Amino acid sequence: MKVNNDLVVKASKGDKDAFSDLYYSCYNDLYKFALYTIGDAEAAADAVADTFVELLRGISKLREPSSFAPWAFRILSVRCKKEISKMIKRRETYNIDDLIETPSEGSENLEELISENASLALALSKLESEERMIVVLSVLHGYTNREIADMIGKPQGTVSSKLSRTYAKLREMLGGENNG
Amino acid sequence: MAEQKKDFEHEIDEKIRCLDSNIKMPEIPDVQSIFERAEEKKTNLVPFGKIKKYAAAAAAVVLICISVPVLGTAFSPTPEDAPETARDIKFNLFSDKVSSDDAVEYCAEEFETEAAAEEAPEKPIPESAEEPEAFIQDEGENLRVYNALINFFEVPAKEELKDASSSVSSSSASDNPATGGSESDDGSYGFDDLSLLEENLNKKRSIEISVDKDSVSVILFDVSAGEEIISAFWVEGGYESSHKDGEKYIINLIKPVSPEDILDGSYIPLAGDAINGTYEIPEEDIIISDPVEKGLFSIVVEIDIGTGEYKIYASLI
Repeated sequence: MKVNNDLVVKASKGDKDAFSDLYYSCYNDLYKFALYTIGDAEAAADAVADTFVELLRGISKLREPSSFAPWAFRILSVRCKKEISKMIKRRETYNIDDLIETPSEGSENLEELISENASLALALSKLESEERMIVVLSVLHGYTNREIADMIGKPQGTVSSKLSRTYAKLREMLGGENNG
Repeated sequence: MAEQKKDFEHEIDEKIRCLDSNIKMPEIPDVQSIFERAEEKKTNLVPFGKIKKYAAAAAAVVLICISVPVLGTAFSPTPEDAPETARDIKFNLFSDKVSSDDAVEYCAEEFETEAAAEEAPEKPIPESAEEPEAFIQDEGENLRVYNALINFFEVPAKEELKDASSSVSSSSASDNPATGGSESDDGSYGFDDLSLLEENLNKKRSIEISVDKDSVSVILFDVSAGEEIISAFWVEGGYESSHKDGEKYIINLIKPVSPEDILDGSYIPLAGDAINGTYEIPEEDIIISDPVEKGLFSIVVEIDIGTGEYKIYASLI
């Protein structure tokens, strides 16, 4: 997630416009992370909103602007866990429909694309929420295992092994041309 | 081999990025809502002085609750029979009006009375009652339970069963305290739709049990670093009790069965989690008492506190 450090500095000094710009620039990445983790669009939006409220309240205490993104993901990962526990109580399950949007008509190999996305979304739904968090932060945001460990509050070794296991699980569920 | 593994990981990464580019994105909510909520939180904060007063009052209540059973233990001739500890009292506060024995007797009486009131002749299900084992072999369903329940309720003809079931279920749904029904006349059986129990099991684990009218949801947390969910699932049934037993956590539930449940085919207790969805308790985990005396399921959930793995057993009693 790309964050403008200047905006963080200004927002930490109480600049509402700067915080607004931060909000709009980070929203989509945080929303997608929540959506992958929770599997419910409404719950993801709630988790992200709660996260931004906490960010707004705490940003004046942020010492290092470059820590904004990891801090945001850290808060969001806890929020997501809370949302998941609420879903469990409501007996809801991961909704892969919220993850998939039919690609535009002009896309090449449309049917194949839809089918692949659906298969992957289904495979992701079978992972643990933390495995989804780790793979999303690693693949889509390019964070290292160490950075991810800090964000989700886990030892680095745990993150590394979980990421390996996640790939192994996805491999088993999706099959692979290069199956060993 | 390692090369192949890396190739597959790259392939997966590409697929994830492709999926990501096709994610449904909602319109971003107005940032003003965030500012307003942050302001709300500020104004809703309770002054620290009041918090201290409430905390002191709460501590006094807790001390009283603890001291009563402890003193009772001191004078009890048999310590094993002493009143429950404060922890148990805390968990049973909402269910002290609904003891398992009361609920069992209430349910049993309710169903037995209704069944006995019917004058229709006893009519076991053809073939299944006479040759239950052959039927089970052929059908492969949990007909052990079905047959046991049918025999217990002494099911009459189907039309009469429907009449009986509607009167039983309408009364049981509203009055059955085991399923959290509405208050009785003296208000002694009502409790909130969703009651929440939380307990720290050890330095690394805490458990949260949400009690609903007809089910219990369980979440086991790893609290050693943040609050990671180790295990989360729900079980159908009315909450009876729960306690820690060494490295396991035990939850007891009951599920009464009505003739209507048998008609619906919904007599096997259900459970579920986010990944597997809803499922029936497997046949091999259901024990049938001989004889069936109460027509209800006693359900026991065993959770391994370390791993989060859980097992659900049901006894038809």
